[in-house]
Amino acid sequence: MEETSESKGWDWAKGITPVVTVLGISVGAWQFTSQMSHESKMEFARSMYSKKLQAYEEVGRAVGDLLVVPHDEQLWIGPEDTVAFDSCLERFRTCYWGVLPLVEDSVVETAMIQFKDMARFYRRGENDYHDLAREGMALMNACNLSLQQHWNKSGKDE
Amino acid sequence: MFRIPFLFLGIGISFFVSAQQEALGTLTGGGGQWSVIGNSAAGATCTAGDASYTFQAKEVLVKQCVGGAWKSSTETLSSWMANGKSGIAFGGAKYEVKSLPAGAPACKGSATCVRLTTVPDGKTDATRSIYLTQ
Repeated sequence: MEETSESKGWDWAKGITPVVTVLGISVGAWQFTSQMSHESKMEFARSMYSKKLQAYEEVGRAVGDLLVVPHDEQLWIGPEDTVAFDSCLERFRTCYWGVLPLVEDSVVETAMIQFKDMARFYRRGENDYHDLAREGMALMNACNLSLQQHWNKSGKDE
Repeated sequence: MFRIPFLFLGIGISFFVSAQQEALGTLTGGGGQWSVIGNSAAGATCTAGDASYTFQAKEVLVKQCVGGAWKSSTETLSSWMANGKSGIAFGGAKYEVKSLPAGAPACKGSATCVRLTTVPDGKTDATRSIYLTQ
C-alpha cells in the first residue's frame, strides 16, 4: 500500500514539473513581449516629440521672420516692407499647411490660424505691430505648452 | 492673509468686465445699428451680402438678404473671454471686436468702422470677418 502511494506522489511531481516549466517560459515570453511593446511605444512617443520640436522650431523661424520685416518695429506697415512681408507670409502659410497635419494640437492650430489672420490684418493696415507681436508670442507660448504636455504625457506613460 | 489674492482676483475680474463692456459698448453705442461696409442696408430689394445688425444689450437683430428679399432674425447676444481675449457671441459664432482706423482700406473711408472676426472653432481653418459701419 505504501509503495503505491509513493509512486502516486512521484507521478504527481513528474507531472507538475513540465507544467511549471511551460508556465515559467510563458510568463517570461509575456514579460518580454510587453516590455518590447512598451519600449516601442516609448520610442514612438520620443520620435513624435522630436518631430513636434522640429516643426515648432520651423514655426518659430517663420514667425520671427515675419516680425522682423517691419523696419524698427514700426506701428504700421510701410510700402517698402510689403514685398518682404508677403514673401514671409507665404513661407508661414507653407509652414502652416506642412506642420498642422503633423502636430495635431488644437491649441497650436488655433494660435496659428489667429497669427495668420493677424498677419493679413497688419498687412492691410487694420491692426498695428503690437497686435501682430502679441499673436506671435501667443503662438510660441502655445507651441511651448504643447511640447510640455507631450513630455509630461510621455513621462506618465513611462 | 487673503488680501493680496483677493486684490489680484478683483483686478482680474475688473479687466474681464471692462474688456467685455468695451466690445459691447462699441457696438450698442449710437443706436446700435450697423451695416456691412460696401453693401446696402436699406431699400425694398437687396442683393447677396447686404446685411445690417442692430445690437442691443442682450440681443442682436440681424437683417440679411436672402434670395433678393430681406430676412430678419433675432439672436441672443452674449460675451466671452478666453486665453486673454474677449468678444461677443451670437448666432452660434464667437467674434472678436476691433475698432479700425478710418484709413484702413477695408473701411472704405467710413469714419466709424468695426471688424467682427470669428474665432476658430476647431472644425475649419477658415475665419470670417465682417466689416461694419454706422
